[in-house]
Amino acid sequence: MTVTLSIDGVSVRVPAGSTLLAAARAAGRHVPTLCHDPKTKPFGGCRACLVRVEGEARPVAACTRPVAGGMVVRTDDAAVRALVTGIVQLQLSDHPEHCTACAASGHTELHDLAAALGIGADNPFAGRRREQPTEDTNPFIIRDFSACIACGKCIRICDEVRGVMAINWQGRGFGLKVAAPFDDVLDCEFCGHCVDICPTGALREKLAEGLPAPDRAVKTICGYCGVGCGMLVQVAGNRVVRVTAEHGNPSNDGALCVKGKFGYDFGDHPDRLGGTGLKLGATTGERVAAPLVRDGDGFRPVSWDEALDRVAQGLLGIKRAHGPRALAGFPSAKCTNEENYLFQKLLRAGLETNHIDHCTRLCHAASTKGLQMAFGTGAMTNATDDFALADVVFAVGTNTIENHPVSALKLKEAIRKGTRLIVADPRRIEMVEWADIWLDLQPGTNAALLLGMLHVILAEGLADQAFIAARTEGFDDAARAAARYTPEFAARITGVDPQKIIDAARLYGRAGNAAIYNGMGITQHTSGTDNMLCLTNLALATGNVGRPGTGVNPLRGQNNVQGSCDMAGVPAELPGYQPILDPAVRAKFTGVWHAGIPDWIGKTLTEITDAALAGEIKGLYVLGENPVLSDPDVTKTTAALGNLDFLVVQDIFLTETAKLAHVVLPGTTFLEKDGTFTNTDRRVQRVRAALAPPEGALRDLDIIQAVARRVGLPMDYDGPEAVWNEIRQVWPDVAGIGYRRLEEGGIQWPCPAEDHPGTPFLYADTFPIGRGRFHPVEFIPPRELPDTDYPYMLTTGRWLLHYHTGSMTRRSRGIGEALPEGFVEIHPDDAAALGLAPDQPVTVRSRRGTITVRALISPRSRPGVVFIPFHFAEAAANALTNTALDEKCKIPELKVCAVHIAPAPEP
Amino acid sequence: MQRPPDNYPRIFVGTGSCGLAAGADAVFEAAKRFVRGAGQDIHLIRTGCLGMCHREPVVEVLIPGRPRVIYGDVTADGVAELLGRHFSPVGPEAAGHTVGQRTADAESLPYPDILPIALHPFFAGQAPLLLARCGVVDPHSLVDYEASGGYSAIRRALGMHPKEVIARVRRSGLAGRGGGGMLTGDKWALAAAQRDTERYVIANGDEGDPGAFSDRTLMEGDPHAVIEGLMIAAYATGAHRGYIYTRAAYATALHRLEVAIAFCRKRGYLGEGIFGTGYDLNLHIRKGSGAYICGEETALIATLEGRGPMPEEKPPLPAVKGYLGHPTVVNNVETLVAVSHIVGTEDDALAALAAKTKLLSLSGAIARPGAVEVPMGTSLREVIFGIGGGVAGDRRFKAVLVGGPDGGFLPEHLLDTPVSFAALSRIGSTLGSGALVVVDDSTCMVALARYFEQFEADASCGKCTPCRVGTVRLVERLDRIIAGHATAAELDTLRDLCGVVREGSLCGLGRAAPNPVTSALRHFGDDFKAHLEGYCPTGACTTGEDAP
Ligand SMILES: Cc1cc2nc3c(=O)[nH]c(=O)nc-3n(C[C@H](O)[C@H](O)[C@H](O)COP(=O)(O)O)c2cc1C
Ligand code: SF4
Ligand code: SF4
Ligand code: FES
Repeated sequence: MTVTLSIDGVSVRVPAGSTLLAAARAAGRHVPTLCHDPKTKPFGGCRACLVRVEGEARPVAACTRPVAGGMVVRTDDAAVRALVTGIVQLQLSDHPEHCTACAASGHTELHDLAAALGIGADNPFAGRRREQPTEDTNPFIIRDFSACIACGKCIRICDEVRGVMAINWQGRGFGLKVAAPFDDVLDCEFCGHCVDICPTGALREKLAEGLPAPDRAVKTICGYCGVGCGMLVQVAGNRVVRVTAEHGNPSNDGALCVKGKFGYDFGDHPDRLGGTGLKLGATTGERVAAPLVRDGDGFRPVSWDEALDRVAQGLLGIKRAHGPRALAGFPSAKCTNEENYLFQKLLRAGLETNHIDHCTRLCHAASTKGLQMAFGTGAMTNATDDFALADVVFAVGTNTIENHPVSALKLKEAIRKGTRLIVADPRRIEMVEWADIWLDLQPGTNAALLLGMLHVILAEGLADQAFIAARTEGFDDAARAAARYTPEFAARITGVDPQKIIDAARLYGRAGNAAIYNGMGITQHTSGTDNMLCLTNLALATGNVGRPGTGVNPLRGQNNVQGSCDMAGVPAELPGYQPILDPAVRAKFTGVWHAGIPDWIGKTLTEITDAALAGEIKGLYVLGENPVLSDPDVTKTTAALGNLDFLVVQDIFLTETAKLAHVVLPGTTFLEKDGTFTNTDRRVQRVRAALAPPEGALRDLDIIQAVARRVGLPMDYDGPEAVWNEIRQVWPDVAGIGYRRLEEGGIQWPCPAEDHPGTPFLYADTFPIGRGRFHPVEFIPPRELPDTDYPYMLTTGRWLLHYHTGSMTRRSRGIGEALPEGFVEIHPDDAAALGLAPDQPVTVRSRRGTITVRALISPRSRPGVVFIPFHFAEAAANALTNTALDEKCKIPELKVCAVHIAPAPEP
Repeated sequence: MQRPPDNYPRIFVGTGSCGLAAGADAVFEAAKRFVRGAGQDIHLIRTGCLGMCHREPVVEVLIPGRPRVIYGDVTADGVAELLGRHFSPVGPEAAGHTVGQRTADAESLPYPDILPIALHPFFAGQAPLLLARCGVVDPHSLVDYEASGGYSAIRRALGMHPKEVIARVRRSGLAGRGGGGMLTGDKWALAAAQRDTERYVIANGDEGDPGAFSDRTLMEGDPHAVIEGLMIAAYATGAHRGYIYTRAAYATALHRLEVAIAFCRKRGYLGEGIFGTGYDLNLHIRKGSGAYICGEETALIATLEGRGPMPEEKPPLPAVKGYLGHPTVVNNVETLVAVSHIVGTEDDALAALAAKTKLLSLSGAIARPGAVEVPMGTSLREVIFGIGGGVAGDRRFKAVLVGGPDGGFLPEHLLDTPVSFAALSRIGSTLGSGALVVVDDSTCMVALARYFEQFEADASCGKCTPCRVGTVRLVERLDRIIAGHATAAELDTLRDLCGVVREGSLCGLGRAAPNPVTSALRHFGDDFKAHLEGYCPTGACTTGEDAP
């Protein structure tokens, strides 16, 4: 239904229910606003948007008034303008006179409006101002309420968009203010969304205090996680002043999380490789802005030429002496598509090895493998936008709210609008508060739970027989395997109330559109692939594939882990999931690369480590990864890397891994490079350099090319676009995605042609493997379970404030300050049994190692199960974890192992 | 509750808030001791207030077959003597505490020396219809209520189609008593016409204007009538859940409403299938925090939803989009009591009568403060000088604040304005809640305007700029004038400021907030002029040289 009305003499048609403000904008008329935000409910408080509606006695707030047919509206009425002038003068009468806060924050909407209304310094309504103390107790946000105009946008964003409700109104009238509960200091998720939308300087980035005004803003993509948020990096000189969210980017549309918003200054940290602050050895105090080569137990700086020569000699020497199979490389899920593409090209075509793998193995190898087995492609079937289109979301082993906080906003919004949520997770994470059903399973029992659900779906006739018949195969075997998993049987294994298993199965099975989202809670198991196959079985059985709001969707962890997989940072494929054993595929690549490609399948990450330990692999080139911390069993990884004849690490910090290297090449951060990232929705997005690299560092793309040339592979691309164009040539799914098109915004592959819009969801009509395949699955318990020596079950994961091994977030001023230390989360009952006090140091010991961390006593964990985040080197969770592998995809069982816990001895 | 036979003598003690404040509890206890020692069966009853705040505590005595006699200014010490005499052959005394006798027949007076209340100046000008039960019946008693015609209106309504009920209310011409004056039938029809069938009704008993207390009188004295009106509103608009919203400070009213609702539930008048029909209705009581703004309907709804009391821009009206986003009828308590009278009668003329009376709360410098009910059209002069007995003491009338601070001050020469929404708004005032605060000539109007402007500033929720900041600026400017620091030009800024607040504010509070200042400026300009010249015309303000 539409409504026609007249605005300033222009007739406009707008949807019924629109506001006058929307109609005015549709008519191309400018109506000023201060309290309006399109993402939140209209407020109507600032009164800047008053307009005249014919036939009404008093002016009307355009932002709140719904349109009505035949309305005659004037936005240019002189009396109304005078009234708004008076209102803004009132507003300014309670605002610092020469408001430096607004200028410094870059938020001058109030002052801009005053200027537009011709308001001068002389204020007829001047009077006493509210004096409110400025709060700057947290490391991120300064709250300076003398500049606040009570527009309430911060409160509404925090509630309606973020779902956090950290702040609310307090008091009333002139004393009205924005306050945290009990008027305490702000203690929230620090996403900074309120800072971005505040129209004045009342909310400011603490990190920007005292910095000069930005001279440019660079649009790029956040380098922290797979959500792929668009952001604007405001830069002064070669320094980031602040980061704000990009509006209109479908990944985040105006939102960021604490890491993206505040975690940008790690590149300036004194530890930065190639930066002028780095000192080698605490004693010498020598500052080194250069590559490093091993010198006894330490390093010495060398020129780039020397460093690169060393790398080439080291790698070629091993190749000559031991053959190419003695060489391996770890590309990086943090690096761009172009870098990853060139890196694997260097290894395959230049060094003739296929021993290429990276940390995706540790996170989502099971997802990729399972999805490939069932559907044919190892990517999310749908996108995070589909939260809104799903009637039911089944979130399995994903702490979306903490690990993909911005995607979680879409989930929260969907839930507010009626989407139902089922959460399967052993811990009482925040997701549980948003869920209709919480399946609180014992860690490592996912398959039993999911088989139980499949059993109920089949037993109660909730399966989509037509879909099964038309589009799938292998149903009978899978059904037979599920037959014995009655809810009661599944309940015995999982510890979940059988009624909840039935309820969840019914909710999922009866939904019009049901979507599964999974995280690493389901993949990092020896049964990881089986668990995924349970999910694909559920989706196939209920016909929840190939439509919007359905599918099976692994939420990828790292910013470009989708891209690093697409670019074949894996042992058995060439870019675009093209099998390396297929001669036609190899021939195609050889045609473009003008180089031979080894025709064998390389080793996986964990196998490479084993081979290094065994002395079979002697040379390793690591690009921006920190396997020492991210891989299971730190002791073993350290020994393996120490056993290498030659280790090159290209990174931005002297990580735990880089410390073992023979040559360290200072690379660049995501803020210093151009290229593309592919987010978890398969959306390819343009990354743009906001900063120049520090003097001793080089862009990673240039480093890789320089190494390639030195090992005899000609590489001379004219920047990342040229690399990308070659990728388009070899991988048809991105052929239609050119840099020029990316200027307009990201595109989801497959996109085979320039005029193709991209593909929001996969498998609408068919699967690449023809029919979707069911797979029979049996529950297999985790390899290592608690026993009398190691009575607790340890599970690992991430924490909102930090990212991966912490090398970036822990070197960001704000974030490092907010959560500087690791911890072990333990249930109050267990803490009581162990006699632990909050924050007390405890030693956690497994069969592989021991760490000391503080106890965080919290009912989030379940009794008998403890949780340790893996971001912290000095308390590395992966010193404890098990290297046992899933046979199908070689993912290690990071999510479950047995540990012993005791109070730490007094130091 | 066992009801004593009707042939018992009865003693009624007015225990409305005003009575309680004056010591009615102690009077009740003393009366109880008297009854115990009286050696005969006497029924002692607590009632609400009959409106005579100036004579509290009030006690009435009824000997079967004779009229009720009203006593005022009763004390705990004196009540035994007074009652003893009443029940003795001597009978009630003609003067002293005696206010009058309730009798329909003024000719042959059962107590020849006692004034029939129809001739008492306080009651003479009144037409108690909505107040008729207040102070007369036991507010808790369902039996009393039903004996006096209660719950016949909802029974009638349940026998009609909801549309007919709405039509009936429409025909009566009833306009909302909460201040907005929207036609009640129209409001109901709007809610009933919404597609969304999850609907709510709310009785607004917040009553936050200074000087208003007539809603409290109704809730304390006749709670069942409020409930019955809300039942009818709910049935007519198809709501199955309703709320009665009152400030926490109205503890007596809250208690009586709670008891009344509990009786109704027990009797099947509320809950599933009320009065044996297939219609379900549940009513709940909600306590407000007592901020004036909580009475504004959208702010009220916000607090019911658990948000802070901040109004929302209208439209959409609550009848379209109210509680939890669903159509919601908010009606004032007095409106609802009128509804129960309108729907309760088949007689159109009687219904129209019920639609055309108004409760007023008289206070301030008036001889006979109290809650009164007059037919619309009665002049303010009659109310103040007739019923209210004029200005208290030997001062002269200076102004009357009508409808709370929102209505502004009226001077003597406008006192012939009738009590009516239209007539008052024509002269820039408003009937509002029906509060009349009389001001005598010892008062400086600048200081009084400042006092009420401060009230507005304190009452502002702060949501919108003009009201949040503007009211504070008004107070500051009045302070300068009072202190004698202002120039004539500042009066123009003051007027501009009033205009910005009035025209720019979001809700009724801000829009009416400048009224104390604008009305004082208009009608009492001399007081301002005097201050500009450095003195206070009444000597009440510290002005000029003496100013701090
Ligand atoms: C500041 C403000 C305070 C109000 N307070 C009350 C109140 O206490 N009681 C009341 O019935 N209406 C009050 N109203 C009016 C209500 O918003 C609403 O119009 C009324 O309850 C509707 O009932 P009616 O149609 O029966 O009059 C107030 C309005 C404003 C602007
Ligand atoms: S802090 Fe900023 S966003 Fe929040 S109410 Fe004040 S001015 Fe508005
Ligand atoms: S006019 Fe006053 S009370 Fe009403 S919304 Fe605005 S600030 Fe609040
Ligand atoms: S933008 Fe409409 S009132 Fe603020």
